Formats: sequence, C-alpha cells, structure tokens
Amino acid sequence: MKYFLKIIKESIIIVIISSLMGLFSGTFLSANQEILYTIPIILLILPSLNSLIGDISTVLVSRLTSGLYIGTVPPKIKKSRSLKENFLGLLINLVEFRCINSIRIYFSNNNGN
Amino acid sequence: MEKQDFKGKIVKETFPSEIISIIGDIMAGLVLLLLILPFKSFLILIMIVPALLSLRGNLSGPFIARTSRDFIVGEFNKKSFLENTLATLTLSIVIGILIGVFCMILNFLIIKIFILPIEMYILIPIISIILTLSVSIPSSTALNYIAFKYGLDPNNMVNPIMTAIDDFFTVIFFYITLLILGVP
Repeated sequence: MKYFLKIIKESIIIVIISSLMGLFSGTFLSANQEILYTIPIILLILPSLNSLIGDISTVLVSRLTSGLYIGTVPPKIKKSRSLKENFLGLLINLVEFRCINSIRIYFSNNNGN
Repeated sequence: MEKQDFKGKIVKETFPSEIISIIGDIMAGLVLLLLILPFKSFLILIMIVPALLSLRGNLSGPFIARTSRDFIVGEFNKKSFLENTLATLTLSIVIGILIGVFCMILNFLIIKIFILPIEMYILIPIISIILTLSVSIPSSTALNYIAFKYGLDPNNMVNPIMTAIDDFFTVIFFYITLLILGVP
C-alpha cells in the first residue's frame, strides 16, 4: 500500500485545486447564459479547447517524468538539450493543432449561420 | 541531424494521436450540444462539465504517465497496477464529492437555480467519473502495452488518444448518469 499512499499524498491537493478551477470556469459559463444560448457553438468547442492544452502538456510532463526516471533529464532547473527538444517538438504540434482547430471552428460557425 | 530526428519523432508520433483526439473531442462537443443542452437544469450541469473534464484529465493523465513509466523502466507488475488503479479510483470518489459540494455552494451563491435535489450534486460527478474510469483505465493500460510492444514511445501517443476516448466517454457517461438519476 506504500505506492497507493504515495500517489494519494502527492496528487490530492493538486487535483482538488485543478478541479475547483474547472468548477469556477463552469460557473463562469453558467453565469453567462445569454452567450451560451445564443452562441451554442461554444459548447461544441469546449471539450476540444480543454483537451488541446491537456494533450500537449501531459505529453510533455509524461516525457519529462520518464526522462527524469531513466536519467536523460537531469533533476535540476537548467537548460538541457533533451528539455529543449521536448519543448520544440510539442510547440510545433500545438501551433499545428491551433490552426486545425481554428479552421474547424470557422467552418462550423459558417455552417451554423 | 540527430536533433531533428528527435524533434521529428515527437511530432510524428504525436500528430496522428492528436488528429484522433480532435475527432473525439468534436464528438464530445456534439453530445454536449445535442443531449445536455435540452435539460432544464442545464445551467447547473454546465458548471460540472469543465470540472469533470479536468478531473478526468488530472486522473487519467498521471495514471497513463505512471503506467508508461513503469513499462519503460521495467517495473510494471500486478501489484503496482492494482495500487495505481485503486489510488486513481479513490481520488476520483473524494474529488467527485468535493466537486458536488462546491457546485452546490457556487449554485447557492451565484447561479441560484434550485431544481436539483442535494444528493444529485454529489451523485452526478461520482457516478459519471467512475463509469468513465472503468473504460479509461483498461484501455489506457492496453494502449500503453501495445505502444511499448511495438517499439513506440507510450508517452507520445497514448495520452492524446486517451484524451479523445475519455472526453467522449465522460460526456456520454455524464448523459447516461443524468438519465439513470432522472435529472430534470
């Protein structure tokens, strides 16, 4: 149960904080009901907006975790080749998908009108 | 050249998974738009959706990262998998309760729509996140295993694919939970 307790102990505060942030963003959406009902396309893009940043950051975090464990990323806050490569690779992806997403939203919006 | 290869590997392995992720998220958005919008309690439900989506990401993301790390460092075994799963489920129940409680408080203070019974605030996030994890945990572990077996880096491809699957199932199971509980 050592691993179980370690996961709970290390995750619980962060997960509570991020879930509360999610709840606040939901409340913000809910408080602006006129916008939600007049532009329902917002609901269509909500999951993809949420996941795009999540995808890129989890890939980065996941790679860094593995890198730290196997020793290719040093446990110090300093510039390293591996870190730079990870950031660049994911930045290219992020820009590509922002473009794809924007085009998709543009066409969905035009079809809606 | 080696530098370009490394960067290219990340882009190459992440790109197809991201395309799948975008398709899955469009489906999730459609379900949200077509199935959740007609509910009378929509304004309360929309408060819970971003919290549920982020909770799902915060639970399955680290679960995938831990599993892929275990595969990479060769420490994947039954015990570590069970403890990882149990910890993820425990966290989901605890945070589900907290989401319900805070949603109730925020509704009482800001939105002021009182059409949902108190127990629904707690039951909706818990049931939908547990149903989502019941799909997410086995499929992400299987994907990690397949990626590792075929020599791909699980870190690059499993997360985006699972985001699509998870986001879609989060919204679907959210809808199913609303139907099971008879939410107005």
